[in-house]
Amino acid sequence: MNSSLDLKKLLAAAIGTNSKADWTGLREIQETFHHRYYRNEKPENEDTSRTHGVMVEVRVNGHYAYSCTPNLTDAGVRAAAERAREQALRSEKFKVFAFSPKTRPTSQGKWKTKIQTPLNAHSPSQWSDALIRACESLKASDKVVQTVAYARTDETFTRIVDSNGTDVTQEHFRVASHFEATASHGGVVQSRSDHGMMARTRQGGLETLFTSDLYDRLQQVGADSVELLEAEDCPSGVFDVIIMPDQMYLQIHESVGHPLEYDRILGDERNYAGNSFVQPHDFGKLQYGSPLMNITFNPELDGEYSSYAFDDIGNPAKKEYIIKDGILIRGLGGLESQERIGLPGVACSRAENWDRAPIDRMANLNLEVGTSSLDEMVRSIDNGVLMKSNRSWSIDDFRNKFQFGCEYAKKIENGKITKTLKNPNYRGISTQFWRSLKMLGDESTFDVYGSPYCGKGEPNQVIRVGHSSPACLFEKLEVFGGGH
Amino acid sequence: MKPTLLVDRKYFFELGGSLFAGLRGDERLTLNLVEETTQFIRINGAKVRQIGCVENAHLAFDYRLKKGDALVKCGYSVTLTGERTTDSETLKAAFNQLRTQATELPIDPFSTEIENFGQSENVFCGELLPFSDAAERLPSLMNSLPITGIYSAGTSVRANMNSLGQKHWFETDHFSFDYSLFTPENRMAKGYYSGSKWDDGVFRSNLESTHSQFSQLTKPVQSIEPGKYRTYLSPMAVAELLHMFSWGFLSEGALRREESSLRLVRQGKKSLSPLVTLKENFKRGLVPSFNHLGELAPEEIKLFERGELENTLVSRRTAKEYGVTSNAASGSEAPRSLEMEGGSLKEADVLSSLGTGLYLSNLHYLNWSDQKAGRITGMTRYACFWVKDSKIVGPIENLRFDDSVFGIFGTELEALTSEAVLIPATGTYSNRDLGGVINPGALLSTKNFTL
Repeated sequence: MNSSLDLKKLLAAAIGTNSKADWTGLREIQETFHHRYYRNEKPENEDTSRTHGVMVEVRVNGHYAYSCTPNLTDAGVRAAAERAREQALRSEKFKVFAFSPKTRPTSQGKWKTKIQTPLNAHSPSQWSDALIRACESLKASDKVVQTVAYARTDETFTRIVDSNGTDVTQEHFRVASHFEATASHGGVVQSRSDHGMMARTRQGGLETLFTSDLYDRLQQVGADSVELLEAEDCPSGVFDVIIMPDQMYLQIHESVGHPLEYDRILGDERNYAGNSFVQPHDFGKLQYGSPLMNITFNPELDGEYSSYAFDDIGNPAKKEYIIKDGILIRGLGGLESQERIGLPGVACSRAENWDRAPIDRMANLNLEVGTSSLDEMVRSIDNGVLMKSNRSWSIDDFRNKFQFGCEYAKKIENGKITKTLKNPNYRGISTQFWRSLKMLGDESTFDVYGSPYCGKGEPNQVIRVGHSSPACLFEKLEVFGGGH
Repeated sequence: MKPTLLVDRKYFFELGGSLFAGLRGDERLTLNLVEETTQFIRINGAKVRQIGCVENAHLAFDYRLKKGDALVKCGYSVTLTGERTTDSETLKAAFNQLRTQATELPIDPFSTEIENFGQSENVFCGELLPFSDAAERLPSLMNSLPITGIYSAGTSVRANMNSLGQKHWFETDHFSFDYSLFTPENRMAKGYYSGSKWDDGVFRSNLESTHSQFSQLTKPVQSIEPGKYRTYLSPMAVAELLHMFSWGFLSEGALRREESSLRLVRQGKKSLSPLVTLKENFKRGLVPSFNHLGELAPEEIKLFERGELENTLVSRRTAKEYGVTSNAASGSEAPRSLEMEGGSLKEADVLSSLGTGLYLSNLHYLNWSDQKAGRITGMTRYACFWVKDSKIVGPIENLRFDDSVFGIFGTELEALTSEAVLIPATGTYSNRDLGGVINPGALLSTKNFTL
């Protein structure tokens, strides 16, 4: 994937001969999505979506303004630059902060996702054959009334150039999928999916989707959906709970990632996504979780959904500890937020596309592995529950009180996994919850997930996030079942 | 001066015409345009955090190839530039790819033949702040109030045409300012100002009205234990609950696939209160009445009439799959112009009718906690108060609720306020939303708070 655009020529057009801006930058994005959705072995959607455009950004007296256009001629980009400059000049006296030139670093470099099998390696008929086979695999019995097989591939070309000599190119290739079986019998309806809605997300080629165990895994998903029909409802009460990585990923996202975003702490998100219980003085002091808890911002992990070498303002990205031995040490903020809040952050100024401005985003945020095997965790529990695969989520605007629901659970009694439970849920308060982390799974329990759909920002943006985690044992959680 | 669109009506129909001219007899093509030219001003603490303009035009192809009596369907969308040579090449490449792809795809048994559903044109011209003026004028009008939010203004277009001669064009100038006012303790009150004609005086009054809630917000904070309480939900809170109806609840397809708890109503196992009358109302003209296939929805679609299920939302695809009749719903079968009728409770009588309980102005982060059973969880947000003996005692700490939709809009619904108000759609995922929902406030005999 390459752009035919001469972006440096367009930059020259944007700057012009009489620019009133102190700095001018261009961010070009060319992105292609393929969506393939099959239900009950029948095609429902076969869609391709392409977008190509540029954001012109200027800084005037420490104040940024932007203008976005798909008109990639000299005249189109020049007009966009003029609009950006005019807005910067007219609103400059009302700016929230006077940003320094350091907020747009000078960077050069290229980066590309490692892939084995290109995303376009399959013909349309190979795709339909594969997704029909996926539906067939999910159809475990006549009680399965619906099967869904959905695959989304996307490729993104990004190039950033600016008036200081920045020239950064990145190419991302990604695959996300959702496979689900719904079973129904006697008025009971249960769905089970391949690790939760769109949680199986990867950077890479088709090798990340068509793994050797794919169809076996889907047969198990179908069988699980039928098994849930006969399962008892999850009991209500206080239990020790083992949470598997396909639920942990969203727990990390909602109760660690979002509250640590500097733009929430600074109030930018107060009118939409919300605020944070974390305050600037908490960094370096707050006991966020038990000493087992180590959270890293890690854009360097091959294959995770939001790995990159530079964020969307060209800031080089590297792994950083966010929470170390349970203590909060660093927040999630890009260079603009770091200047405003006066704390170190990470390279996480990210934008959904060419028509949205970069804001603080969590990218890959991971819980580092511990030393316990799953068997050791189970054996340590007298009366508990093991939960898998997210199906419901909600948290308050300060990121304290959460509630999650899962697709599938097992009862643990006297150190052994016993019966299957349906409709498992738990609720808690973020720091109390993380301080109750009692055992942390080892490498054998570790897995990588993510989401294409993290929503935030005004104007609104969805962005891709990646989260990896081992299985975790939490003490004394409030657990409950489903129903009316 | 009104900003220029990349793709105006004439250009759109010309582009479509040139594509249709090259179609073979077994090919059908529908085009949908979503376009906007928008200024966004993001405000934090009455200061400008981010400011910018976006011009964007997405054209989506819906291509159908006849194979005997059946159809193969696939889609492609591209960004238009407004430059004729570039756009023509882009469209030609996309179309050729669709043609090639379609030869390899299996039959889609629930795809329907396109039809010519006629022509329509609606252009709503407004009086918006010029982009250059807004950058200065908006912050100066805030008069240093503790305000955070997003101003969006400009022109939005939705257009549709097909190879059988159908043509629809909907263009509207509109603005919205979606904001919060906050106290030093970060307690907040929510407000909206939206429309098609900007008025400084109305904007100031709107801010002052929201600001007037501060006298209650600065009272001592009340910590309320989880439990069941009598509860009043303001229109904004009810709108959040109605928004959940977009996630499959009113969809005939979701009902047939046993995803929607509405199946329990159809089976006679659950019901809504006789106070609930709910409809799609396209008479307001805030959104286009044509859908992605160009079908024109009836001016009104009764969904619930005094608690009785009258209609679900049925797309053409669902109609074919299940042998029912389409009512021109969107592909997702989500409501587009939802309206809930008001009741008899006067606004002035809300506190006396509530007596002792919770007054909730807003809800936040709602989700189905058990979608198939119709259970919703979510949080209180903004100006929410503990009320004792019909008097506001003070704002509450955030509470989580987890409750059945059949309780909230059924057994627990005691009264609806007499005035149904417009809560504008201010979302901007991919593009600016249009329209909004009209609904009253609701008094519940009890509501379940869990955390």
